Amino acid sequence: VRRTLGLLVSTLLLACSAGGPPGENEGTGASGGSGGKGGTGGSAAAPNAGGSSGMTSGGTGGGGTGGSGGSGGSAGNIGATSCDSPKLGSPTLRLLTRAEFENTLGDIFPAVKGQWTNTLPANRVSEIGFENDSGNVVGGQLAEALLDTALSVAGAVTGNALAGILPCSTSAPDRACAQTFVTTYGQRLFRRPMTDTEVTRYLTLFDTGLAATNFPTALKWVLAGLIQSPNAVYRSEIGVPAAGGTRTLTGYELATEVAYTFGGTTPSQDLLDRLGAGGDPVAEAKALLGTEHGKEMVQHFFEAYLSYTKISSVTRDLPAGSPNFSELSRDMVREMRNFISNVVMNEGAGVKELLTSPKTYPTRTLATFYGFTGQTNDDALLMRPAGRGLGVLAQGAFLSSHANTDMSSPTQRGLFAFYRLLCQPKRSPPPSVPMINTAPETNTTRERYEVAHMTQGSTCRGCHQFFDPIGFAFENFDHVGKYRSEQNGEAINPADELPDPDTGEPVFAFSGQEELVTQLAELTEVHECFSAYLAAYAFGTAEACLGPNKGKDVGIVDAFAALAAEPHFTTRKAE
Amino acid sequence: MTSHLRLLHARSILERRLFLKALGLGLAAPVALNLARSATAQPSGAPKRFFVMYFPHGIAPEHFNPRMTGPGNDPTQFALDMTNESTLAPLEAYKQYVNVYQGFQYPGSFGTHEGLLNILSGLNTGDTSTPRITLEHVIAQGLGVKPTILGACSHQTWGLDGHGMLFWDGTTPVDPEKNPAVAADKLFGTSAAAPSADQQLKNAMLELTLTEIEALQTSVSGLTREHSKLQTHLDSVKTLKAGGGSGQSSCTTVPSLPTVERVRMESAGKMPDPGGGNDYFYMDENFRTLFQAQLEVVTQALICNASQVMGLMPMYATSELKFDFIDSTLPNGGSWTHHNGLSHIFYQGKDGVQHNSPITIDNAKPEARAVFGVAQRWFFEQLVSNVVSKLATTPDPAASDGSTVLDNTLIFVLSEIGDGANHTRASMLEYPQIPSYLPFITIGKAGGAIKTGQVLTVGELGDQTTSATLARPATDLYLTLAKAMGVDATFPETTGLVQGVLT
Repeated sequence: VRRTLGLLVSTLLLACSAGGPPGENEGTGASGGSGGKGGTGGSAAAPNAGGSSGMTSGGTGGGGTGGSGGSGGSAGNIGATSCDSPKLGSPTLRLLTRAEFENTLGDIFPAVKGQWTNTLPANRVSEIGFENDSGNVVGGQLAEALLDTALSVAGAVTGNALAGILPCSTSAPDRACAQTFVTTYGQRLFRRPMTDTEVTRYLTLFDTGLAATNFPTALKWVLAGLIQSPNAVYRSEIGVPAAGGTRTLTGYELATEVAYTFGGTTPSQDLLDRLGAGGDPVAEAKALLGTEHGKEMVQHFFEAYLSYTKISSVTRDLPAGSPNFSELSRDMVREMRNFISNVVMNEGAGVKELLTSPKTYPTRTLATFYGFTGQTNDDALLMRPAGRGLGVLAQGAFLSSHANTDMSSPTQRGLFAFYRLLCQPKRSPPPSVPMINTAPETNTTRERYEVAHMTQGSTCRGCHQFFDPIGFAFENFDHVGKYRSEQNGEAINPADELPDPDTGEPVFAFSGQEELVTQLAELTEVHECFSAYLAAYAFGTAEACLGPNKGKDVGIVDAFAALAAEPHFTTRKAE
Repeated sequence: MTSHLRLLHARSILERRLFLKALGLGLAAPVALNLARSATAQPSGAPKRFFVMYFPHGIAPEHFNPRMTGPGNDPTQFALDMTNESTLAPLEAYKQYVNVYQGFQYPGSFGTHEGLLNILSGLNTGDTSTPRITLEHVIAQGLGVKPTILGACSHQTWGLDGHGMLFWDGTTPVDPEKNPAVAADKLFGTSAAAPSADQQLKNAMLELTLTEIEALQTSVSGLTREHSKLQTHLDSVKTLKAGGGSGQSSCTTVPSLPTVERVRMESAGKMPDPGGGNDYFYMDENFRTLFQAQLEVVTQALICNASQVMGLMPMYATSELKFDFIDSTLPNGGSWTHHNGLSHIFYQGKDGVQHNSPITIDNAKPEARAVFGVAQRWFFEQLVSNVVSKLATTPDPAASDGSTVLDNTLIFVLSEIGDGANHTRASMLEYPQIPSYLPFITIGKAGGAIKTGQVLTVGELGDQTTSATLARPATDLYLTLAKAMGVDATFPETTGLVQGVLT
């Protein structure tokens, strides 16, 4: 059965938990699991999925609302709307993330790399899962940490390294030397030439410092001021007024946007010059994505999109004699990074290959743990045997991170697809979890979830019927991604149907992970949804919309770079 | 008056000399402070300290609720160690300092999945970008000090999301300091004042920053959101420039902090991998050590008044950390994971008993619920052994009326969930015989401002459909606790001070 999967915002109002799994108490045989609620599974709100509404038939969407944007630039829960033509986002000052700040200072002052301490707090993670939200602000904690970090860097630069960084500091440590420093490094930190007024401000501070202390100390405070300046910690995407009530980004702003979006760090002077002179941002984006910082930007997108690095800090129960999970999880992260590096970056995979590639690159230890044979070298290509899963959603890092400590989680795995492949709007759980129909004894995780979540007439079923069935497709893989054909002597049943979020009617049937992902990879909605997440990551907001037919039959890295050609990248609405 | 001030000054000098001498003998700081205090006992007003500690996943009411032991519902006659596994049993020996509060809820339409975001502010929104201010920051602002916010595995590696945003400073969520060694260095590090030239330059530099922010504000004139963003930045830098410490510390050297030093040693060089893993401070296996180390910091900071207002978040709201370290031989039905494995345990109906059938305590699933009670008791065991017992027996070095640090401290312990399984956020009678409340406890007398040793019940019990209108807003209690700390505060949706709490 294959039906159109509508992308209209669901009007399903039944309250139900969209979070964690039901009870975990399997294995004792003493009793069924307890019902359980809430949890860690991908509570993403859907970003603005650009592109055509409906599926291949054209669907019933159209127009769309474009989303409200939420406060502070967060996407919030704007639902899976659509737009017929690209929509511009707002002008904004984007706060550097902790990593961007560190990369920037590392690039500008390579001589003191490793000699200072970054005390910036963790970034706020937005509703759609990214930490570079354009609505982020400098609160009290961050203001203090910016000062502390700026002083740490400035102390290192004006210490023993200063003679190499600023030769005149030894030959002629005077105001002119300070001016050279301010104009040189001010331009790097502000990513544009400083105005005369700005230079004067900093030289006045230098004069005050020199009168009270000495050249290096005075310069230290000048540099600390430059580093924690609002002109340094925000990426300006404000632009200047243009025709049609829009704003056009300046060349410096565009170069900065390209540099951070695709390179994760500050623009070089050459990049500032090229884009300031009307260079091609897409070509620059592609070049940056080939650098180490750029590759890390792609990896970082997948870390956030798949939420897989969680496994680095949690525990998972393993049978006696297994390797320590902290070692396995490290290998799983490595395997995932290998997959992204080889399949997505080197081979130019699109969404279809991302979901269906049979390739993987485990360490020997991990291959043995999975039960794969023939892996003689760490990180070498290994083709998955038939029936052992396909693509990124068969990776141990994904399967383990979307699981519980001691059992798989059809809810978490199903929710991933529901939110991040199908861009469905967030389902709100009830204020208090209703009494669960606790289970009679069950043998399989699926049975337990079906009793707890899917019993006809239960409140939970209202929501869980839309994503738990998707999660059942993964039941051949346990909570650490290991294949199983049975559980407690009962054969695994990975068969179900993808329900239409609006009607609950089946869209297609599947039996197992491979059939599920192969069919998902054909859905236009999945490609558009992925594009929407990629754009939200690049733009720091889900407010902008890409317009129709983006993201299909295009390599992911190319699609990422092509965002630099989107109207939003160079132009903003008035507000 | 002049003479009196001179005497106070002389005593302060004497105390300091005795204190330093005691430290010179190799005594741990609290002991040294005791000696100094006992040698100079004089009446004086000690500063009140405030410490709020969260614990995740709520409680099992049948293992938590105090047993009332007196006639006629006398609120002062109760036992904390007579309720099955007695989650609060570690506090029994200190119950003259304890209040257990029953009948509060946090208001609004948002449920427990956004509970962590709302619980300490009383705000009613699930939006993680809406600014809010939480109880400890309200009190700190009122006292004119900077709160110290600590955490032990308090959020995930990838950033501060809705499961880890407990504390808010009025504009943004506060990322708890995850490294107790860093916290200790800040609180107990060299207290020598910065050279005046440095202070002068710092002020000049921050003034320059303020000028730049204002200039940028002008350039975004008409862009309301960006203007507002810069106003937040401007206010933050103004606060930073105004300065203000976390407290007037009586510590002149670093107290003995053995667990903190262990963390410092073990964590050295364990920096995150590119993928964000392998960070000592995020790993579940280090949680217990980190929790204990942070409690060590809290205790010494409160004793010294190195920080007058503190907050601690051990674990995050959906942490699956395993608790089999308690006693893995206990029969618990299978799983030891804290979130789903322990806290989500519902009553188990007998064979044939269906959903919505009458449930009595006789057909509960007792073994699993008991283990959850034991797991939550572990948090109180840590609090009592590392903090309460020490504060209760340490004379306040800043007081000279014989009072202990606990006499002058107010500890507030809470979870955002009532019954862990049902995710209740209000007082209700879920099952016959077992009322469920949000677990709110205070320990300490707040300098005599709190009437302690009582089980205080407010509001009425409801059921799952009506309880929201019967329970009392938690913010009423926050208003009262702030008042006890000497701070007149405002919170959302308050109805007034809670009677029977303040002396």
